[in-house]
Amino acid sequence: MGKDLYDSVVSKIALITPMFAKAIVDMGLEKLGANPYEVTPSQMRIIINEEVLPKLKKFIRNDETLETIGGGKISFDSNGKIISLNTSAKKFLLLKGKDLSDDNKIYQVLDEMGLKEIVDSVLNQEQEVTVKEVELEESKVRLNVIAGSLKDNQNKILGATLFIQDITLKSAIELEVDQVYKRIESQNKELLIAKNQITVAKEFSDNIINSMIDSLIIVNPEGIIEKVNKATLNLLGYREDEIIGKHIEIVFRVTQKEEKSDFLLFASSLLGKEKIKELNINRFINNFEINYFSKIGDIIPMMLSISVIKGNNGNIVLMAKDMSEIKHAEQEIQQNYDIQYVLNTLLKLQVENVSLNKILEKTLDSILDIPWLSFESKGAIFITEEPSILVMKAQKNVGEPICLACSKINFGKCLCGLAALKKEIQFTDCLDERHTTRYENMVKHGHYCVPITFMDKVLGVINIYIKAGSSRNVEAERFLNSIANVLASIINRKYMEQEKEKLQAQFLQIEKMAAVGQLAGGVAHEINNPMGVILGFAQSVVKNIKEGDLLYMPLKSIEREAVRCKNLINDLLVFSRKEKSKVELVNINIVIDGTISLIEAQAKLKKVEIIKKYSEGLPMIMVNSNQIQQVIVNLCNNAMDAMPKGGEIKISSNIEIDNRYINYIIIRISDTGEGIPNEIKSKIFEPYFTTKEVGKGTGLGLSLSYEIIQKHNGTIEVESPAFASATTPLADNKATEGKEIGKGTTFIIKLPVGVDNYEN
Amino acid sequence: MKTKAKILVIDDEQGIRDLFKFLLEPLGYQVFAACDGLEGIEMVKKSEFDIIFLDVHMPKMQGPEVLKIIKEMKPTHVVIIFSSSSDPNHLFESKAKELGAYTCIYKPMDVNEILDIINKALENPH
Ligand SMILES: Nc1ncnc2c1ncn2[C@@H]1O[C@H](COP(=O)(O)OP(=O)(O)OP(=O)(O)O)[C@@H](O)[C@H]1O
Ligand SMILES: [Mg+2]
Repeated sequence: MGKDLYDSVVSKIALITPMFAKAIVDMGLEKLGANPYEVTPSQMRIIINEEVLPKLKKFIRNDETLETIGGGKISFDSNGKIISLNTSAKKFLLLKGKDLSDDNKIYQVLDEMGLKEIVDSVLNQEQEVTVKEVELEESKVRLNVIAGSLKDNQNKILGATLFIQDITLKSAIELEVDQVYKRIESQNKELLIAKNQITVAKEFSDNIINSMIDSLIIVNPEGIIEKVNKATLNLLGYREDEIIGKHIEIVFRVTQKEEKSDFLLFASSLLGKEKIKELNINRFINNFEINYFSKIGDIIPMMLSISVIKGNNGNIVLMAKDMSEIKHAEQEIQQNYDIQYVLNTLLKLQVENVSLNKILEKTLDSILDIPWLSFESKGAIFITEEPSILVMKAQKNVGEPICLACSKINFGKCLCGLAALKKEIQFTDCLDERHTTRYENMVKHGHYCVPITFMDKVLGVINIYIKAGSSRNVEAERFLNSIANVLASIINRKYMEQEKEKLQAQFLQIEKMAAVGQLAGGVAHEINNPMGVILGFAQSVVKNIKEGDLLYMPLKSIEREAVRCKNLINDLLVFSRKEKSKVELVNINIVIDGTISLIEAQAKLKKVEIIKKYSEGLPMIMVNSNQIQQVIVNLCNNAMDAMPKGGEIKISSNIEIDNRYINYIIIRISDTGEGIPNEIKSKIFEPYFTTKEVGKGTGLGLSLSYEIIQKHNGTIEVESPAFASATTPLADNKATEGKEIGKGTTFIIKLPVGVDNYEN
Repeated sequence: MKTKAKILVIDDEQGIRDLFKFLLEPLGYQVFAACDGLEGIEMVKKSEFDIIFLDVHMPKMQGPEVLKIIKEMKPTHVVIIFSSSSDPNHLFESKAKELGAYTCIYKPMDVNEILDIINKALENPH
């Protein structure tokens, strides 16, 4: 080791010139550009030869110099007798505290100090040079004594010389240097170990930091990013050189307000003063939620902890966990919960026997209530009606123009129509070419139009408004689809219930009719004879009486009432189960035409115009034409009664195919009368139900018609639009505005074609 | 047109028999009445009638049977009286005609209808 070499050289030289030894060696080192620690033996050799020895020669040659630098010198002759003794030597010897009055005394001191023997050793030629260190205990002085022989040219010993050096200081210095050196050495060692440890620790922590899944960002107190780990780079999408040296604001996408870039100021505007107070007190804050922004502007929810590193640089560590996954999972749970909640609500409503329209309204409410779907709070639900029309049954906030424009939408028209036609969701973020419905001052918007399908049949469409430019959201579609599915089954069940109720009602009606029929059959028979007599006599008498006669009017009345009775009895008999009827294959248009000729005269009288709209090429149908005529007459009579001030009767014939591929002849008889209020709609087919004044109506017309159509395996239904279900928003408005003139009533008769299933 | 035409009414209903007499006698017809099928058949055996009105629904012997017997004896015009309750859709009408009935009327009948039938029948004597 360089230092050992240096030290040994210096100590040797110091024997000759203790004051300058170090200086001489150091000068040599300097010339070579070496240092005491790293000096090599070859360097030292150069230093000794070129620097140290020439200088030392000077010192040795010049005795005075030695003298001046405090060396003691005692010269002896070959016999060991003292020849000379310089003052320094005397001083050293005096230190022993002895009296040096005579040579004997000096010899004594020299002996005590152990110096006589070294002089002897050189005189005896035992040693060329002998060196000895002497410690003067009393005065704590250390002496370095060198004994050397003086020889003549023939190598004969002439005498000896003792050089005495005070090395107390030198030793002390050496000791000191030694200790310092040792200290430094040990410190160096520690430092080295520490340095190693630091390197290892640094590598280790770098590894850890880089293998961390969480983001770690170290910023200086000014908020400048000093270090980031790989996770941060991956998370935010920066290259290291793109982010290091930037202000931390780029991570939060918040521009600091203060001119001076100070992290805490920045953070306090970001996190709030309270948090910063906490950070100042505890030097860390834990786990609060905040968003990081990636390079491309994605929002990443993070769980952030901040700690301030101790030490004068005061760096700040931002450690943050990517919460996207957790957030996503949380969101999914929330979404599933919301979906389930809405579905449960709907199912509960269904069980509670709430009307379909109410369910639709509630559905819409719940859809629009869910915040994470970010729908506009606007939408409608349509229900399919025959043949292929979507009718708005529930709406929220859509406003008057849309209520009007979209109250009825044909399949294929606009987005809702397309959803129904294609049976797939229609999404748009703008008013594109599919959005064919337009009205004045229409605000830009987008839609989700979701078909409600059951067994491949479109039962309706859910229409939701979204902000223009919104992007298509898978979660939203998933949600709307599940709602649509549940709605589909609810609607289907409602339909089935309605069908069931209808069937039950029909069944009840049939039962009633049968009872009436049986009764009527029996009674009618008994009544015919007396009625025949009454009618016959009345008519016979009237024939013989002139119009002016007092009895003319009463007899005429008896006759008229008897005729009514007769008609009534005939009507009653239709109910009779025992009745046999005549069925034949007819063209229904001819049957209708024949009937119209019966009532035309009466219609003219009542200012009622009869409009015929027959479809050509209808198939022949097996009916009892008398009975069908009776039905048409009944319906036309009712229509005329409903239009006391005149109006129109429209009679049309059509063909329709239902989903079981059965052809039906449809006869529609519409009037422009006052319509039928909802509350009596269910009663009009009951026998004896009438709203007409006593003597005018018997209330049998419709019940008979019903019975007849029933026997033909057909159906008869009534529609009265003015009193249409008061649930659609449009109908609501109309209802409050009052009855709409000309809406009237339509009776629809459906007769199956091609099945000879007339009841016999 | 025969003026003093002879008309027979076979009906178990007193009122109907009286009605025919009341209606037709003032018009110059000779009206005879029988209150059941057997009595009617007896009367047809004894004398000639231009038109016979025969109720289909009677005790002792039913109308179609009476019609058959009468038709075997005389070619008289027989008008069958149905009750609208027993044949509301006039299904028996053709059957009756097959058996030789001239035509059918339905209770409760319109007197004008009776008069029409008599007029027409007398125009085409058997
Ligand atoms: N076209 C119609 N417009 C308005 N109300 C009608 C119409 N048709 C039937 N109604 C109502 O239905 C009731 C029942 O009709 P229905 O034909 O059975 O009996 P009616 O007409 O009162 O008596 P009837 O036909 O026996 O003379 C009527 O009293 C009337 O209130
Ligand atoms: Mg009526």
